Amino acid sequence: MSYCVHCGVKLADYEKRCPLCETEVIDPNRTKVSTEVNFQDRMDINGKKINKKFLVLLISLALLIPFAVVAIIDLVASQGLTWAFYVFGAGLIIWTFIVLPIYFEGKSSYFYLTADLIVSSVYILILSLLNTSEKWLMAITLPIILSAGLCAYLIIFILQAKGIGKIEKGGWITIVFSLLPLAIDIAVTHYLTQSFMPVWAWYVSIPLLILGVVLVVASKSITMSEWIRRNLFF
Amino acid sequence: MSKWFKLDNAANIYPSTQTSDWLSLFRLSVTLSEDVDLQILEEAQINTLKRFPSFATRLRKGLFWHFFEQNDGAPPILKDVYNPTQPLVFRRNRHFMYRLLYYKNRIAAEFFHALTDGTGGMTFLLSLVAEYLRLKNGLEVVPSKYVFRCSDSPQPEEYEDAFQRYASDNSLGLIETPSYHYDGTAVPLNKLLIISAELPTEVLHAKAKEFKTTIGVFLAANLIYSIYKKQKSEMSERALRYDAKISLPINLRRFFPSKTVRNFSAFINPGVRSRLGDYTFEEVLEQVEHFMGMNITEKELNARFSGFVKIEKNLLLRIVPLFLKDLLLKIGHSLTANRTSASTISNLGVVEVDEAMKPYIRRIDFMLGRSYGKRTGCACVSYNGKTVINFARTIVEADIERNFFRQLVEMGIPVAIESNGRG
Repeated sequence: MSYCVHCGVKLADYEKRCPLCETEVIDPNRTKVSTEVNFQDRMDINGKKINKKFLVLLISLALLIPFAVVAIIDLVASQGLTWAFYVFGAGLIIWTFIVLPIYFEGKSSYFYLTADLIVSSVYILILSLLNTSEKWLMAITLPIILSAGLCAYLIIFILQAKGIGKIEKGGWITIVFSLLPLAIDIAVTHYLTQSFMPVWAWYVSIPLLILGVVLVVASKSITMSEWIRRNLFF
Repeated sequence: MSKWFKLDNAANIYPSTQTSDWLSLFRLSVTLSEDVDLQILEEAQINTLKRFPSFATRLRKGLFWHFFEQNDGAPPILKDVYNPTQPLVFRRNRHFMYRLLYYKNRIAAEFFHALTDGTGGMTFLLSLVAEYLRLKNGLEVVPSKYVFRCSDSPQPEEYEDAFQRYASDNSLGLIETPSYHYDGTAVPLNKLLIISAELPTEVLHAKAKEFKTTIGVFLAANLIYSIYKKQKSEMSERALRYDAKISLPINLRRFFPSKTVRNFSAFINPGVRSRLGDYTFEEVLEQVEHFMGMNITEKELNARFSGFVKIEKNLLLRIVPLFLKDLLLKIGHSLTANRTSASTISNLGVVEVDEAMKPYIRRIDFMLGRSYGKRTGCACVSYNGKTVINFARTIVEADIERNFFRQLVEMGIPVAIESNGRG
């Protein structure tokens, strides 16, 4: 029977470290360490674990079926692969959004977001290459996707930030959201008029920006944040 | 007894808020002086279930409410595990709402909170042990506070909804301040880190008496002080804005006599306002003592639970379909469940058994399962001169436990601990 030199508690024979402070138990007189513990094996409550690799393979194969069907029809009908790329691109997006998080479970949110952004952008690129006359794809859609992606990066960063309260986080997220209509407006207006000056976005962005700033300021004041919490059941 | 019955007032929340990963469970275990005979235990369980009809039930969904329905047979008796209080999958447990486990000389039961509270669970387990000892050693079962004799017939008041019986027209509009919360490195869902401590009750009692208080208040104050110290150590102005509060279940049977083995407890949340300055342990203790003195009175407690009974009886709420009630309760629970306390300490007090049973029972344990949001839960029970304090946590860091036990050691109380360190 040993005692922890830091905590002063008596430790069970099988403890090699103090469970409270992790200090190693060194007892020169202890000749035989009992391995007898009070508990038994771990209970696997959720039963059989899903085989991740099998699931990934299954979803990938399920996605390959429409690809194959579409490719055959396209080859027969158009004597080459043309519109089948639409389906390939869409399938790739589905695969990245669903299969990647299953296969690379536990990775950082930035990892999944980056993968999603790359694949979505590549899809837009494929579409614009197939439809050279549709200039708006690259001029409007791509900037919108990238702006939304940038917002998502910022929101993840805010959500994961430590030492910031819920109200302050809500405030910063609202501020980030206020930037998105501006980006969309700039992309659309620039495509239509070659001007970088937003037109309609102000009506959305300014109220959002004000709300966000109010929330951030309110979160700094205990009385105000308590009032918000009480009235909004936060 | 009827083939089905309503959930008690406190139980209503539990089925609605359960998820595939979480449901509210607590564990009680009895360590015997000799190894458990599985066959006899199986027979004892069957006999005990006949005596406790509310435990021989399964959970069903009605159009407006959940209800319990009589369930024949008995749950399988499993080998005890390293990570207790894992979610109870009803269909793998023959639909029973408690799990019975054994390992060497220990019999443990893990109860879904909708079924019973600590006192009810302890009565079930000790009655089961008494029946087991009767079958194995021919021990005569003497009915007592925690032991029902299985040969007696169940009485309706033993499975009554005591909340309904004692509810009055009074209610309290409680405005609670939010509590500080601590966090750490989360352990996977299938892990629960346990630190189990054994203390001599006499020394603990003497120390509590020295502070002119009871063991329950003394331990509650010690836990609040441990959380307060953790809060201080964060050196953050934001952390200190909140009160250091804990949740404390109160056994209502003390104030409203009832033999019910179903839920009959209420919660209060004592704590200290950390932003007001530095506190000593004595100050925390005084604060808790006064808070409990003010809130643990018959009238206050009655008004607390009567408010909930009133909500349950509200006609408008009653006609809301169950799926909507479930959704609303789930949302409400996730937003408010742990807002007002950082941890829980549940003290069952001194458990007494008949003198003839004493030589067969070495130790009794009480433990809380994974909480919905709180990182640590503490449960205590005293038996035969020993107080066992079990901490269960879902983070790697044992800061609260370290503060808690070091404080006890510094006060001269010997503490012997063991853990399931491997998780």
